Amino acid sequence: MKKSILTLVSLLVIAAMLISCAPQATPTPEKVVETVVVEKEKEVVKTVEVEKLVLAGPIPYPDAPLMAGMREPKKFEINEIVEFKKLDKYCEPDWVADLVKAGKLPPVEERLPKEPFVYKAGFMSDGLGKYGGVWRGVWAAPTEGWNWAAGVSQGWFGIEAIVQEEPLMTGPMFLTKNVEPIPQLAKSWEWSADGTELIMRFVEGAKWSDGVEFTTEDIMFLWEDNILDPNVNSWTQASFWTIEGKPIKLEALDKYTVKWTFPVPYPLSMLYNMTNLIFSPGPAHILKPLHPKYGGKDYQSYRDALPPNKLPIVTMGPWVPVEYKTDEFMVMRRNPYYWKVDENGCQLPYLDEVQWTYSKTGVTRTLNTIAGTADHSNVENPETFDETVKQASNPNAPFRVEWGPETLGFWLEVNQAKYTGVKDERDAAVRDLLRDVRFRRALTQAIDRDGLARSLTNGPFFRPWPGGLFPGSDFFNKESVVYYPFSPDTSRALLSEIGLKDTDNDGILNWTEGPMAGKNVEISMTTWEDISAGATLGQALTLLFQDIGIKVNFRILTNTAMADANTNGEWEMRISRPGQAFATPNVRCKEIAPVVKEFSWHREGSQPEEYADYEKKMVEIANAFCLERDPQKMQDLMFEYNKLHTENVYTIGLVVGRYGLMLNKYFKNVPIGTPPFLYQWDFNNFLPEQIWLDEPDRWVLGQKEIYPKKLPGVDFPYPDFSQ
Amino acid sequence: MISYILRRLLLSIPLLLGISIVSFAIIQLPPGDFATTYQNFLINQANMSPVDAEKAANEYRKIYGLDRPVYEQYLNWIKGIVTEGKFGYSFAYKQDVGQLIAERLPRTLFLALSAHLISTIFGIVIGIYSATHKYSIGDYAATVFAFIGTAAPRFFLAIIAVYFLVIELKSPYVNRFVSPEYSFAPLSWAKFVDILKYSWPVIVIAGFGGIARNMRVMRGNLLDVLNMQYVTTARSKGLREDVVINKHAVPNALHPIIMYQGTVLPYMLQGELEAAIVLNMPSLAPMFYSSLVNQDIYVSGGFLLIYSVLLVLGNLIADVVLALVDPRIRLS
Amino acid sequence: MNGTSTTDSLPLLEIKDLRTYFFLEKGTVRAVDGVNLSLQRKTTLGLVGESGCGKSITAMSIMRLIQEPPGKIVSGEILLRSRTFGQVLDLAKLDRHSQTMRAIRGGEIAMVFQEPMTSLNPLYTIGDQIAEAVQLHQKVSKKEALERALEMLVKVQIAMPKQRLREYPHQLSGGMRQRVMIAMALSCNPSILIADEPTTALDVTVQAQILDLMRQLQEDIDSSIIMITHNLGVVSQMAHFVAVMYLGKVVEYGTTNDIFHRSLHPYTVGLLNSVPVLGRKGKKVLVPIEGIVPSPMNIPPGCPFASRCPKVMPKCREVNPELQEKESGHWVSCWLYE
Repeated sequence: MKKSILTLVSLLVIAAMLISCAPQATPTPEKVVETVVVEKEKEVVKTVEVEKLVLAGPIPYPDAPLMAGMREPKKFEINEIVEFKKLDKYCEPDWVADLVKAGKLPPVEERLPKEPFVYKAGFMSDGLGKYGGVWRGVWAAPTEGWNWAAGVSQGWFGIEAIVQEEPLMTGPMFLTKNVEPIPQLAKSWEWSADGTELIMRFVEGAKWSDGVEFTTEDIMFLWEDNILDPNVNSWTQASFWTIEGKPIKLEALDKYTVKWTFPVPYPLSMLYNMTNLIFSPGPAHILKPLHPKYGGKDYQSYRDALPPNKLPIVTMGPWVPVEYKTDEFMVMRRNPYYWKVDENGCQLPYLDEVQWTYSKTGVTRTLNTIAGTADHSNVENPETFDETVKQASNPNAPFRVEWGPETLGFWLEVNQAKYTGVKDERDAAVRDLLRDVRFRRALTQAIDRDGLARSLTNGPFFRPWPGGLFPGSDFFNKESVVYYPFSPDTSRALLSEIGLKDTDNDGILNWTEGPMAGKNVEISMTTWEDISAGATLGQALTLLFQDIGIKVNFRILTNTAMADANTNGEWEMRISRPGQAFATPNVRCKEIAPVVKEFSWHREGSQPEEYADYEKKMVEIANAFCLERDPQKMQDLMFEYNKLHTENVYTIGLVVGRYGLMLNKYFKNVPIGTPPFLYQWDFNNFLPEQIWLDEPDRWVLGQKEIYPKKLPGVDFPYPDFSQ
Repeated sequence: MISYILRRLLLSIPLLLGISIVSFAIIQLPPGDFATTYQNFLINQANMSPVDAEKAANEYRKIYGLDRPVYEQYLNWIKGIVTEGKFGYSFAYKQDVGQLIAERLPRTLFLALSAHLISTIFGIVIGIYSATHKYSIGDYAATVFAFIGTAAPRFFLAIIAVYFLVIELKSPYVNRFVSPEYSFAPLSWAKFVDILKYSWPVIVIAGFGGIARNMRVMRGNLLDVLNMQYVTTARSKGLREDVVINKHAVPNALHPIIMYQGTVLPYMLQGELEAAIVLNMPSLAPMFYSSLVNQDIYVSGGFLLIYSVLLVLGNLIADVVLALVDPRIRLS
Repeated sequence: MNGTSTTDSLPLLEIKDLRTYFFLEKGTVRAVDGVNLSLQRKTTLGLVGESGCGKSITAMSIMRLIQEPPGKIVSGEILLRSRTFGQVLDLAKLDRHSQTMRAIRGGEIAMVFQEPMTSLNPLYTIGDQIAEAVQLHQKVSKKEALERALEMLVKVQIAMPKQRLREYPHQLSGGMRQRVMIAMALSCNPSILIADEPTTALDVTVQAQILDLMRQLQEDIDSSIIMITHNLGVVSQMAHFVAVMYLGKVVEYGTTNDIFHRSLHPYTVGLLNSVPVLGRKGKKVLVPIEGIVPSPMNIPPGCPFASRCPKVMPKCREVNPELQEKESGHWVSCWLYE
């Protein structure tokens, strides 16, 4: 009995295996002669049909659906957000006041600058805050060190945003009525009459966390000995600070004033660059002695001079890292010399401590926020959307989700370089196809975008997007969108018009002339391994393109391989998640068209490239946009740009959705409508120094303060950095 | 015995050297290097334009000598180990690799050995039950359990565990090694208990596959041994059945299990590796994995060496234990 | 069924119609299918028969070492006059794992097995293994148990007994190991020693030594011996009584003299005739018994020997003859004699 059952089961299993491995029926090719005759007849018929068939043309692009829990940001004038002024009295946490009484710290009035940065109460969405509480973050990149002036990374995920302070903030620009940057270290600036000079005044008497004064020496050290010094691998090099090939100049006028000199008038985009990462000064009094120009050993030692464990570090930020366990855990404590206060004069930050837990992946951040063991995450991976939203709908959830503007999208980039990366006839033939707007239009109209959106998430988080600017951008106008609808018949007609026909009847179109005549049209499509939606989208696109007769070889590659392919121009189509430039073109005006030779999908190699007419027009628009200041003119330029982009299917958009911001639901003072990613990422947007937790909410999620009542400098002495 | 151990240790040195060469070569095989990883960070996290990121990466290469030929990098590395005891430099962490290893090795050993202990003890116990209750429901259940355990990939079980713990149970004891308040505290009993609260899923998952293996082997061995004449002799003396099993049968059935203890350790390390990566345990495994992804070559090389040393030592210990346990080997 | 020529009138062990079957998937093996035996004090009973006739199973049944499942004592009685418990116990009815049975096993009835090479546990010393048996049945310390073990080793005439105590089985030869087994069996002074083909697996010279030993021990000790063998020569030298088994049944029983010189059952006759004897008078040719033993799963009705009996009658194939006392103390189950 047992034996017979076993035999039966084995037979079933073998049968199933055989069935699944059975080869597909291949169509038998007909004799050539007959084919030609038949084809000719068919061709005639088809031409007639094409004339009869109207190619499905552009349709209006719909508005974005609103998400539950979305709030429009409240907008302010700059002076409604911040003012630099002296107040009558200042306050600090009681335990810090105790340390002052014990003589371990100077009094708060002496620690603050002459006219500190004052957040206006009207700006604070939940009003003035109270001291106490911790912030629990998760980071997932290795911490290289603390010498950010030399381009060393601190681990991202908010750590950079906390320890680096810069002349002005662009993150909160979404809060401003006129989309302008907010003063920070630079309390004011004014253009000269002809717009070629910019005087920038810095806060006076602000101190680094070790009590040493911040002056323009720190700014000039960053400029001359890091950015301009070719041996230092800082975030930007001298070439970045040029306009049309001519250098920008910077000089210090006095301890608190600098003057910028520009080769063209009013280069606003350059102003946007004086911000986080690109222009964050490091403490000159610590770093200068380590720099080779001032007696330091060599450039590598200089770069490595502030290793991750050498704590605490000297910073202008609200919290100071005081202890670190490699790839595991980091603790930051409030900076007793922080130079911002609230309107009552209470020295910020409100929260006393920030804890960072390390994880291999960013998903842990989301999981921990759901579980209530972390306070912040971004909803940015489509795979987690459904579950996250489901969790958030639970009234006992420890977090809430707020959706930002539609700036999370995926598109198919098409390599339109004629020469770069082309190795043989086949590559050249494919490139020619990709450069043909009819081919790109055929591709875009073969895509069932609604289907794609549904394959990513169950909920209504994504919708079709034709490419170009993000609908969530301040410069997007839906009238500018030339939106080709889903119509595989149109695609087939277009491909036929180009001259592609299925001559061997295997379901894949063939070239009919040129060196590739008779061969199947096969194009490679790749994506980065850490774009998790890439796999789903790639597989769907492969099927959709196969339907119109284009064979796609889809592969997921490592970041390294993709980077190499990018450098050499050896790629054909790739699925990517577009960057900031298409949400905030005003800040990234050079990245929306092939302004520079190394432009992403039209890269110039050893031979000069050939640009299509509309491409050249787009470059013109981008360059003009870089120099434009008038808001209406800027909108007009972007309108024209987006029209050209979508009409010519410059990129093949797929779907667009929103980033979500997940935060501990008890946090107060998170600005209404904060996007997780617009001009900058999260921490640069919600201004953590003014966020607070009310007393009963501080420990409900199991938070524990690691070093209560301890301060850097007092309980954590600064190491000898000269070693 | 002593000479035996010494001889084995000496023989393992050329073995380790060979392993180091092969590992170093393999690590270098994928295209790109750490500078490429750096470049990607710049683009993705720093919003740097790809053009500038590329330039920065090239600078980085020059600074850290990543543009030198492979054999030169290897020789420098070996020289450093032998003459200074320095295992090289980690680009990602800006630290001496030896330091990174020293921080994490105890945790890895703790996780792997605990998993090993669980898998051995449970495996043997369940195996004994299975053999003595052959074809009972318990035996069949144990067999199904064994097949699932061997077949299910550990990272898959880890993902299920994470989902279950976070989404269903909303447990706060996930995705870390120790509670924040104990992070910097010295090791104490309370800290140890705290660590257990977080690490038990890793230990169980890593041990799970091992339980299955041990159980099946034990069952098979014990069934063979139970047919031996000396077991009947033991019964004929009037011994209680459980004494016959545990004193006479099981020790003989344990031999093969002891013998392959040496190879079980890397199996445990691998299981710990998969589970630790998913569950975010700061042991050797996740750092090793990210060093491979980021091409942090000296970290990868150093960790591979450590794993090899553990393997060799594990085998040696197994052989020694076997000699201790089996008088036939000891007295020959 | 009593033997009359011994000191004690009451038998030490009486087996009445014992049936031990094995219930397998393929069918039921009726390994012991009606065995009747009687054993007096200080006598040696030889249990003979071909391989597979159920001799070992009978011994294992007495010791209650049969694994249940798949085996089971289906019916019958095994009556032991127990000195420990001071009464007659039916071993067939006891739970084989019970304390009572375990006290008897090894304590009152001990067994020596056929394969000395694998009968001892390779991981423990000789001394430990013997001492284990001693401590199981007597309340003594380990030291005293080892002394007793030494005593027994001396008794079985092993060379260098003190050294042997600390040695492991793999350091001893086959003959030595069998001596150890005998020592172990006798260590608790059992009333019955069952020797299941103790010399079959040894080579001839060693066989002779062990048999010699057993003969000497026979004089020495108080125990009765059940000697299971297919070697009639051994039986003739050592046994007082003989039981002949065929296909799970005792077909003839009597004194050694009876069986050898006045054999009644055709099978017994056949057995004796098939033994090669040097210089045997009258017969120069071996006379084997015709036919083969039927499969124990498929025992035909009637007398089990019917298929091979030279004197078979129609009745033999229909009804199984019962064991009857043909002459005093000489029992046979055959239709020839009824």
